[in-house]
Amino acid sequence: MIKTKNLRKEFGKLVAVDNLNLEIEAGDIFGFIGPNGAGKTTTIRMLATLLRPTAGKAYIDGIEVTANHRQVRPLIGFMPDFFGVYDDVKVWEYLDFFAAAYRIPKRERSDKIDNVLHLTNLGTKKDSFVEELSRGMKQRLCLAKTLIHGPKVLLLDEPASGLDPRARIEIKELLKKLKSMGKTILVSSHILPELADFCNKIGIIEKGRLIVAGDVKTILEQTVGGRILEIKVMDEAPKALEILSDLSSIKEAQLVDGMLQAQFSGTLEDQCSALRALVDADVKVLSFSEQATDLEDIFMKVTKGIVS
Amino acid sequence: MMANPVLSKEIRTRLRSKKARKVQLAIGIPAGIVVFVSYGRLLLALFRFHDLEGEVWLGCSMLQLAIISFLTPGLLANAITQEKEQRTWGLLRITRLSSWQIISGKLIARLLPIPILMVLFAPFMVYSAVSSAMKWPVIAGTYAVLISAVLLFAVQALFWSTTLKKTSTAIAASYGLVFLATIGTYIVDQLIEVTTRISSPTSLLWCNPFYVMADFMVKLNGYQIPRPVMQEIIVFFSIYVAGSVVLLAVTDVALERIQAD
Repeated sequence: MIKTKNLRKEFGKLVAVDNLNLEIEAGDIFGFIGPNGAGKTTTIRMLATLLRPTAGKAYIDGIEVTANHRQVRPLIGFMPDFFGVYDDVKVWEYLDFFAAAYRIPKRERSDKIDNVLHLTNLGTKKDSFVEELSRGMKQRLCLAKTLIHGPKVLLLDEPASGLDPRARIEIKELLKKLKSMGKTILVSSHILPELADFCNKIGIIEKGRLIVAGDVKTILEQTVGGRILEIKVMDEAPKALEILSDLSSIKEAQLVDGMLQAQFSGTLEDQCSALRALVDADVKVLSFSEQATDLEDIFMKVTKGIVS
Repeated sequence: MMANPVLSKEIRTRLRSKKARKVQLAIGIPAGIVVFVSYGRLLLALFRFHDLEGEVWLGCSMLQLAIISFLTPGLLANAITQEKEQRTWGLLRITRLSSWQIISGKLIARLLPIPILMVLFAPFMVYSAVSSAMKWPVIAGTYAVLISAVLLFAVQALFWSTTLKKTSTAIAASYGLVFLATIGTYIVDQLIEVTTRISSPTSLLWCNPFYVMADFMVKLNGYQIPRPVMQEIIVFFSIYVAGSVVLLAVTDVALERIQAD
């Protein structure tokens, strides 16, 4: 659904995006992760037909973006990181303007406006003036605008930036709803827990280069070297280490602060077998759990904190 | 025409705008007083001196031209830069609106005060035209000069608004060009006259709507001027009308190619 081939953008001597190759399939929720200045916004703006690439190609639903921006624009919904709203218009008028701008017939607009207002939980604000809305509400209004023409692809650039925790959670819930509607979403953020919940694929960009991209679980295994099992035993830690090291699902085991940590790359069955092996050897196991490895771990592992 | 969403949005926001209302009041009240007093004095003069009709026509035309020159760049110079500054431009560009829809919507909505201005002056124009049995070419020519000036001054302001990033620079560039076409041409003409010691006006003044308007009316009213007035008028309309069309096309292309921010 979204594809880039050696996509490159230069601003003078600065290379903002460097030979980016992405492939996002229909229905994917792709988390685009990177520090500020890494090239996330530039990539999204190129996909949104708002910036011309210096080199390379970008495709949305098989259509080349730069040469066919008129065909691409109805397919995408774009929400920028910073955006303004028109003063002196009411919420429904704002949405009606964008619906008209997307050439939605007048007779269909009212229903579509009600639908997106309901989805974004702004139904009660329909007749309010846009400037009276809070920051979080404006963010949801922008998302409502993004959805008004029913785009297949959503390009969301830092949709929860600058919001308070409640508004942030509301946006997150909204994105989950959109995921269930089967939209293909590319969402950028540098706040990783935001993305962890609902992205099935991620891409990490640093200094304009895509360092790693793909399925979250696969990347976890590739980068962190599998999951970590944390085991606390009553005594006989060296014996437990020996037993664990003999198991094929355990790559490496070590004692850290009185806790056994084992790099594990097996199934749930293999985890049960590891526990059984310890218990059968009369090791007194106090706790046995898998360490929660998240996007932050991957991010810290693969990035160096460099920006372009 | 109202099917153009940019046009209807522009009209709606301009009518509602609280900021605009303050500006309207700040300009409207003193302007209203001036217009009211002028109206009264002019009516009085027309009743007293029946041979003033021709002068009223010329005076009203020149006054309208002066207001147009002052007002038009200000109305259009922030048309696109405002969108860029308030960060709505990207949202607008990604829609299915064509560049032409944006241009025409902005242009028409923002030029609405001009017909109002002309309507305001209409009673005097009609009175002086009827009572002095003014010839049709004079009437048509006067309005042609006025409309040409509106067109070029508006389109050039829209062009600057499209190509420049900030409203302040777009306003400066727009007024700069109007200044050049009006006062600037007189200054340069005078400088040439002083340095060359040749007293006939240079063809530079053919770009000046005030100069052309005056010459045009004098000529069409049957007076002889020792200058190629028709040539002057043809050059003026060529520059103003063709210039507007070319600039509109360039603005359209620039809008199509321009980046969002």
